[in-house]
Amino acid sequence: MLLRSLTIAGAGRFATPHTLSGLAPGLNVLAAPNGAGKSTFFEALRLAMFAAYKTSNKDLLGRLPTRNASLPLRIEVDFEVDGFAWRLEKQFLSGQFSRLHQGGRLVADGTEADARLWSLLGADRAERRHFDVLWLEQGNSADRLKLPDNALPTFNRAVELALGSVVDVSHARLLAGEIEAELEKSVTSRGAKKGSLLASLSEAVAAHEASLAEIDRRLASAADLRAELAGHRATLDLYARDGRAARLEAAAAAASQALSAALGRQQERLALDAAVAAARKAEGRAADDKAAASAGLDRLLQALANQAALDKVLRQARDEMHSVTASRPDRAGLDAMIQQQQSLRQQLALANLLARRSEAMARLPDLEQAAHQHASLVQSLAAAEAALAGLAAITPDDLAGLTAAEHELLEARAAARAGRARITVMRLGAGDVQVNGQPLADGGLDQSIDGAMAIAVPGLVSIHVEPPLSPGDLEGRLENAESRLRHALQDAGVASVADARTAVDARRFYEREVARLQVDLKAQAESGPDGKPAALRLEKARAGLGVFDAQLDQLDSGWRAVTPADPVSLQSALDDTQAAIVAATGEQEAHASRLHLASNAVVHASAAAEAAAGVVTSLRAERDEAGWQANQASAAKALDEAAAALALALQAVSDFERRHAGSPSLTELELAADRTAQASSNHHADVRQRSDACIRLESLLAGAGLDGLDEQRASLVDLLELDIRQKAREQARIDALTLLRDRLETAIQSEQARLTAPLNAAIAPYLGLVFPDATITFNEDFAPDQLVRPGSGRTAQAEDHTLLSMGTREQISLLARFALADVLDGMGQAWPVILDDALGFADDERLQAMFNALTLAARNRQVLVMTCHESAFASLGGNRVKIAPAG
Amino acid sequence: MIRFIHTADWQIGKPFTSLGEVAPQLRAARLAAIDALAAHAHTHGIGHVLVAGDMFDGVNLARPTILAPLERMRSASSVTWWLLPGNHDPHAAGGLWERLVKDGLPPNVRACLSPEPVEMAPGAWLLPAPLTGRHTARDTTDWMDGAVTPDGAIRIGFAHGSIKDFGQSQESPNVIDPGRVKSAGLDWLALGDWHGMMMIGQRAGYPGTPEPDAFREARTGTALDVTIAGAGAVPAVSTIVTGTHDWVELAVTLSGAASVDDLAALVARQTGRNSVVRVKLDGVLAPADWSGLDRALDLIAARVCHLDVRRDAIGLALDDAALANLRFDGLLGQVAEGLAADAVAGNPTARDALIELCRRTGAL
Repeated sequence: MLLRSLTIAGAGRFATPHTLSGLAPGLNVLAAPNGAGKSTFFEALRLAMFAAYKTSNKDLLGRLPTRNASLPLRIEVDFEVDGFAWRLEKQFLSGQFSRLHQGGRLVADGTEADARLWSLLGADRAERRHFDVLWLEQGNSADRLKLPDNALPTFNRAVELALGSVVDVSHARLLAGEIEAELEKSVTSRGAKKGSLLASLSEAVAAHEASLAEIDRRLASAADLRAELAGHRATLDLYARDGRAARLEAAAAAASQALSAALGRQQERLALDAAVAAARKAEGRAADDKAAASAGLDRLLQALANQAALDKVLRQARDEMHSVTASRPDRAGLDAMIQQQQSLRQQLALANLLARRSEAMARLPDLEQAAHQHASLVQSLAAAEAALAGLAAITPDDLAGLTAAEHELLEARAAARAGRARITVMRLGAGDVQVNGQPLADGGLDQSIDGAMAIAVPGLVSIHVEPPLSPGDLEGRLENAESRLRHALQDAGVASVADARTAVDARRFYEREVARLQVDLKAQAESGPDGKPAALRLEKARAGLGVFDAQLDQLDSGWRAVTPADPVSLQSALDDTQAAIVAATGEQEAHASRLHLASNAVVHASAAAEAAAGVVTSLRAERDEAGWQANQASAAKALDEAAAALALALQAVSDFERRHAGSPSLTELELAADRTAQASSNHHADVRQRSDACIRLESLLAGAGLDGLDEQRASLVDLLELDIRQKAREQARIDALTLLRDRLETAIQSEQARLTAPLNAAIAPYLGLVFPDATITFNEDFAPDQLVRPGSGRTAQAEDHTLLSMGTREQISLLARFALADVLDGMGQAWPVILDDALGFADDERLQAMFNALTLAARNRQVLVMTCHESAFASLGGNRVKIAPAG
Repeated sequence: MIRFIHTADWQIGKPFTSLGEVAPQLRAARLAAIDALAAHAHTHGIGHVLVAGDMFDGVNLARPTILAPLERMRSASSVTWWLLPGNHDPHAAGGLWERLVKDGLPPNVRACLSPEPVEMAPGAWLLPAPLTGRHTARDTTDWMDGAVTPDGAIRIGFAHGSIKDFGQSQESPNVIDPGRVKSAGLDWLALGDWHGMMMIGQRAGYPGTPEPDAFREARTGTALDVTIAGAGAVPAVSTIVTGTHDWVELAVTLSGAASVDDLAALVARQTGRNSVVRVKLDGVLAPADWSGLDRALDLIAARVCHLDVRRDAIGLALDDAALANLRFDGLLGQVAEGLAADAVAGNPTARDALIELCRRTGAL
């Protein structure tokens, strides 16, 4: 099909007929600004080709801005099909008609014309819009490609022509969808879906198993209880059969009897042992008496010997005392050395005082000179302070105030001398100039500024002038300055500002002088050892000489006539005397110590001798030597008698042991009695415990709630088996459905790939121009689905159409239309591609690539590109066409 | 002379839950068997019934379950019922039997709980061998060899377990020496445990359970009527039929539509409305035959008491012609071909998937 021209009237801005003519095979470009009517022509062509002339299709008519019924919409299309020229005339809204001409001859009219047109386009009424997808309207270029209604069968036929055969996948897709929906009710990706039969059965199986385990646990527990009960009963039965209780009781009685007999023998033996012990005790007492008598005699003899030895010691102590008393040293020499020591000390004190007085006398002249300098400084300081006090009390701040007042007065006088400002206003051209509201005089204005002035050019400017000060103000300022200076001089107590400056300078001089003298006085005081003024130090030195004189008078009234002795030689003589006194005193003390020791020895020896005599007297008072000897003899006799009694008692014990040799020991008999009694008691306790345990176990079993457990268990086993089988059946059903769904989907995908293969082949050349190395997948409706581009490494990057940029979506949308057009070519007709302001989102590089793709597409068909970007599309080339008034 | 009924393995309390709605009916039938035995005894003037173990299905049963058979025995007051603990209801300490004795058995019911001779009738002595556990390693009839009874007494052994000749090893539990009859001088050894009726020589036998309760058991639903004229006389034994249900398990190999058509008739010939039926199917069927199989099984289920069908082993027969007959169009034909190939190769999931495809597309 080849479009040649299109004429419209009654739509958009075209009230009168306008024509788009000059359309040629290949690429045609209509570049015109916004509002030129491109889209009106685009939609009008669609309306003419696809709408029935009596259409009430609001979708079609609604796209065209018509004048409603005031003007009918008239469209004329000249086109060629298979080399034959056709002309279509259609009118809508009012006076509708449809006329189809061939070679200038009307060949069909009205409905027949529409039917004949669509037949020419290779479709019936239902599928007439099949190639409308190749005409892309403004604003939809980036939308996902969508075939028009009823166009899919046409494209399927085109694909079938390319492939030879096409398999219908719709039924399989429907079935796969049904199965998927059914599976979603039963399973999820993680297993059985909650609430599904499979999940319910799984839960039931788990619940049955849990219940079964609980019942088994309870049955096992009961079995344990029964086993324990059976054990106790068997033991009790055994006890009853073998007469164990009677045997144990008899053994205990026999052991008890043997123990009683043994206890009797033990009493007898204890009596014998007591007799032996008594005899031994008597023998011991006799031996003690004999020993006591010997000890008493020994103590008396020892006391007598002791008394004799102590008497001898007393005599020796008294001899020593007499010897020490006779050797006492001489005392007169020591007293003479003490007297000489006192004389030497007095001479040394006098010599020391005289030496210190001489030193004080030597320092006196220096002190008198310093006192004189101090008095001079004090006098200068008093004179400076008096001069300072006599100066006027003007501070530097006072002087600054006076200077400022004087400056202000000088300025006021200068201002008064300067006079007043002047103003000159001249007219330079035509116009209305006003001064203080009055028209400017012809000669202009030149005067001093005595007060405020208003100068205006109405409509343009207004100027307000204020003079600096009035003459009255200048005079007032001068008076004020003079008054302020006068008052300031009075306050400062000076006649002029110069006097004030002199007073301030003199005050600064004397203040510095007073400070300097005070520093000198302080320095002189600090030069002395005590920091006191020199006069005070002189007075103190003179007082010290008086003290020395008084002390010397006290030592020796005639000291002034004495020649001072050498203190060093006096000190040496004093040290020698001191050493002699120490030696003599030591000798006296040593003698006194020896005398004291000798005296003490006499006293102690005398006391000891007296005590020993007392002991002897005391012992003899108890018993004398003859008495002690008699006691010794009677005690020896008693000891012999006690030994004989002990021998008799031991013989009786020996006889007892011989009689009962080989009998069990009492310990053995006690152990046997305890053991057999314990065994009998244990047995009775065991019987009691087992009987109690039987009662307890019977009670536990009765209360264990076992009734019906076996039936419950058997039922649970049956139910579990049933549920497991049912679950297996449900799982098998789901597995079968899953397999069926998977096989269907695999087959659908495989067929889908086969169906879109022609489209993929057709788009490849265009895609290579714009997206090198990329591929596009198409869905079952021939719409682009994914753009697959090379990724990093060997992996390809598949991007869903909806996630691509606007520009990329738009470009793919156009390329897909080129490919669809190529596929449709297989049906014998090359349909034109018309693009209304597409490629609005392409960057410069992509735009050039798309121009190449457009050029390639135009090699096989007519392509009409409408654009408002004249300059951007200048490089597209092609046959340029225009819209112009018809005729 | 003494005449008695020898029965065993009532297993009262068995729930039959897996059989669903028919379970109460089967439980009731087991109790009804007691009435049938009592009626036989009454009709023939028989004074004793020996229940040789497993009267109950367990030892921890609900009280009404325990009392139900006892009350039926109490009603048959002209008969003395001799009960023996078996492996399902052993006499354990603190267990079922102890409790029954403590609570008081009906006056015409005797529980034989210890291995000692009991005179059941003048001149006839019962030598019971009660089981005290589910599994007993020793032969509990050992003691019978030395059991003392009056001279000229009829000696009747009363035991529960398997005869060694059944193939059990020596280590199998509850095994009874078949030579016990001779070694203990028994006139009759009344055995229980084996649910099918079986004679062991002339002087011993299993009566079978009085009401069938499982598949693969032969000659069930019976008891024995035993008459012993005197010590050493050969007992006269006849079979009493008491069962009201039959448990039938059929294995059928299918091969085509005709075999499906024959299935209902085959089952009908071997079952009745009181039949508990299990049908195990194998063989191969074409997809078109599956609907017919469903209809046939529905028909069988309507005719019997309970039907359990195992059909997992049925394979799919599907050649190219059969596949073409399924009339799949478009892509579904490709999918069906792939599934058919896998199904014929033995993949049951592929088989089910193909059947599902056929059903959903109306191809069958």
